[in-house]
Amino acid sequence: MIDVRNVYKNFGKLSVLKSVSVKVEKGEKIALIGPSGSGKSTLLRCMNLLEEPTYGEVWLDGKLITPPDPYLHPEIIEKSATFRRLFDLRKKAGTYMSDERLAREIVREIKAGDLLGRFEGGAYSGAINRYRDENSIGINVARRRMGMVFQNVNLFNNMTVMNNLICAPVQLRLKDKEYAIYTAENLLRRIGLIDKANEYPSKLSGGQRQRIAIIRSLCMNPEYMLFDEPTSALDPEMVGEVLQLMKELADDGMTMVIVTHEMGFAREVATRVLFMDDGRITEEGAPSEIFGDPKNTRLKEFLSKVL
Amino acid sequence: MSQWEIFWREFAEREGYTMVLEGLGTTMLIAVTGLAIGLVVGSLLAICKLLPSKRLPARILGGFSNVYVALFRGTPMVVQLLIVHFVIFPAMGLQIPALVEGMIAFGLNSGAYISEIMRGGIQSVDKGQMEAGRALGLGYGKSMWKIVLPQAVKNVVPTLGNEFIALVKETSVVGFIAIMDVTRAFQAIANSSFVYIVSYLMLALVYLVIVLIITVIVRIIEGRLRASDRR
Repeated sequence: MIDVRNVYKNFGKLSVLKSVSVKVEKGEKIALIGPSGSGKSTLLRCMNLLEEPTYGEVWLDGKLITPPDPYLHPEIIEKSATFRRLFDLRKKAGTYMSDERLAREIVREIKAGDLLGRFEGGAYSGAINRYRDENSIGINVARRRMGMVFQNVNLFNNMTVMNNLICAPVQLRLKDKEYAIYTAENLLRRIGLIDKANEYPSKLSGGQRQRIAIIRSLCMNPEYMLFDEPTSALDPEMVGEVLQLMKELADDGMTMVIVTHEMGFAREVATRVLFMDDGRITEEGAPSEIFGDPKNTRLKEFLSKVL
Repeated sequence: MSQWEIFWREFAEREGYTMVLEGLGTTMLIAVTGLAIGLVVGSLLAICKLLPSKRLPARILGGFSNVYVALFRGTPMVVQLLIVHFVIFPAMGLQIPALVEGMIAFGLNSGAYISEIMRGGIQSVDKGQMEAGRALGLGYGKSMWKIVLPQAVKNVVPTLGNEFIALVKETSVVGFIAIMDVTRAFQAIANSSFVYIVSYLMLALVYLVIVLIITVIVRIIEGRLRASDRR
């Protein structure tokens, strides 16, 4: 499960994601739709940490991949110097609240006001580090399990198709070279591009490139696939072949998160659709509900424009 | 006897040419190893400068790289050569051949220039290439080394060719630390035959021919590299 907890992302003053939480269960195919600039791609990129969330955490199968976010952990906030200062102040001023209740109240205040400073004392740093050591896995290990397909493909231009496919598994010593080539050839055969194995990406069409980018991710045997508008940069006549391959993947039971403008595809393949608007997920549900019976006015407006 | 004949006698019959050939070898050896060292040093400096991390070690490396470039670009090559020969190695109590000192000095110097070239080259590679590498689980170093750097080098081959040409010509100052390069060889011929005009014109011609050959080679390499991404 990819578990996105209360993620915020700011680019400077621009706030792109505002308190987004999503759980992606194994086997789900999630379509992320919404107007451009609504934060769909940023959310997707936060899932494998190509963007690091400003606040919030991302968990992969019970392991933390972002740094711990103290605001999600009252027990860590309680170790901070800010907390102790506020606590003592309020105690001195006199309060009717029990210590426990006062602590909860102060944690809430600290969260609301974003009061934690850069350095909050040794106990706090210790608590953060301990939490991270107990729960984190390295980002590079996590990313092996999450394939990513980009809008602008990003095949390695300096390598042939075959080397694109075997580069990561061989470099990371997950497969020996012969076996990597064997699996890569099988995948190439499956998409009918085995004769392109020794070509450079620049010699291929956009659709071919994108399909190869998809199987490049598959060569890592990922458990999740993230798609960032995989067909948006393609010529219209090449969209079909890429969607077809994605559909086959979905039928094979791959867990997928897809940012897309292809509403027909989302409707057909997705098990759940999330509508994002202005950095928030404002409506979610089965495709039949989202497309058949939209409730949110912004969603209605959006659908009327794209359908 | 004409000037030319005197020169020729000195060059051909009194075996001046062995000296010239040896000098030529030395010149090219220093230039080539200088470029090789410069490429390694320059790439490392460029990477240090472009590290994405905002943590202290990364910032220190970036600062070091800036200081390095400032020092080596801010002082003349001859001065650096003299410092390497008369200050640094003697201070370390090491006695190594002047030729090796020359290679090191030129390598470190061209590293400073190449770091700026490589920085531009790395920045000219689409950011998506690094992202794709990272998204597959490759680390920053591996993505840089296997994916970004090869493309960066390809982008900067013409500029590197330029740097190499400058390097070849700049090696003419190695005579300052008693290395017999091609300039020194012609100087010796001039001094023993007293025909300065012909000797130095011939020297100029030798450099010109070397540079022209390098130009052609660079162009061929460029063409080869471009063949892989003809669109």
